[in-house]
Amino acid sequence: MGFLAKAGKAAVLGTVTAAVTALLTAAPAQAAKHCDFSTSTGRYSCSGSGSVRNPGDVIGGKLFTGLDYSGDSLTIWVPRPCPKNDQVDYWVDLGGDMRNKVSSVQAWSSCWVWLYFADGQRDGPYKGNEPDVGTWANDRAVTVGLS
Amino acid sequence: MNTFAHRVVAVAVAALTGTTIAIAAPGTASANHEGTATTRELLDLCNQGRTDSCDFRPSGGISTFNGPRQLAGSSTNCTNFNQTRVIRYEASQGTSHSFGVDFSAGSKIGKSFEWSIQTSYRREWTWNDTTSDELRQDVGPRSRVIIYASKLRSRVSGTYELHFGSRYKGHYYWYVNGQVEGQTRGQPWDMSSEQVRASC
Repeated sequence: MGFLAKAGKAAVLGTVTAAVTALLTAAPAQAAKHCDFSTSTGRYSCSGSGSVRNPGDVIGGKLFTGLDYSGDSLTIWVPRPCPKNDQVDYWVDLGGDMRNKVSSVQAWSSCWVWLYFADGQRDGPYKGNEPDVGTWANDRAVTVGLS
Repeated sequence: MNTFAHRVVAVAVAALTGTTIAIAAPGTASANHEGTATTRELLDLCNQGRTDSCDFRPSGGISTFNGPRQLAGSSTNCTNFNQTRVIRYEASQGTSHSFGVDFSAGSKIGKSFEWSIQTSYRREWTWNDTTSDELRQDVGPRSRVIIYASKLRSRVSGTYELHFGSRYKGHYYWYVNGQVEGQTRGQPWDMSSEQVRASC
């Protein structure tokens, strides 16, 4: 299980391998982990964004496992701000570190954050800093959409 | 303005073009060239209204800690008898930060920060807080009573996301990390007194 990004209809297949490797080699949780994933490179790392993003990437959103942006975090880098075209432009399937664990989110650049659940329902859009996604959405997201 | 024991190095991440990550210590002057900028330079541009937006996005929760113990008032009794004194005291605490630019309630980055705290944590940032009052206190012979005040403080870390309408040094988006210390509304003062031998 890894982070699978799709830009439009085109899935970035290399993502799965990279994410699986990252997850398997991750140390047991002690201090909060701050990880990065780029939808343009498909790379995932918890040791800084430099090895993950393209130089031109911008932050589309951030997810946190705790309330008030605490706990582990995932920064999602995207190739360009969301174009506001009434569709979800970037999809990220969450891996084990974040799957069913998201409790607070932040929308960055022009992107809005949508949380999709395993049963196909979704919540959002979150348009700014949201310290608590609420009881209904808490710990349920398996996929994130940026629009 | 206080500085932090551990100053946070600001990281400006170049965006939208394939060039660099600029790392700048707050307040340092450096030769600027395409793709790099200092924290001060970027946040000054925000304060001058030359960015489309500069939004503060917190990282982690608000952490609280006890502020430094301040001498708020005192009274010295140089007689050989106990005396009851009315001691006036006053202490205040402001807001300190790692950004190296004007970061006051009225500045644009200050307003952005204040708004972010309100919307992110549903709390109100208090830029300055003062406590003052008077109390009756017995002061022993040839003694001095000192009133100390300590404020329960808040610390917030986060990132300013700056968006320029046209590319600034090659980039539309810049990110500046930093840390702010101050207080949110309702955080209490802790008062204490100490009696010492007076120099009479």
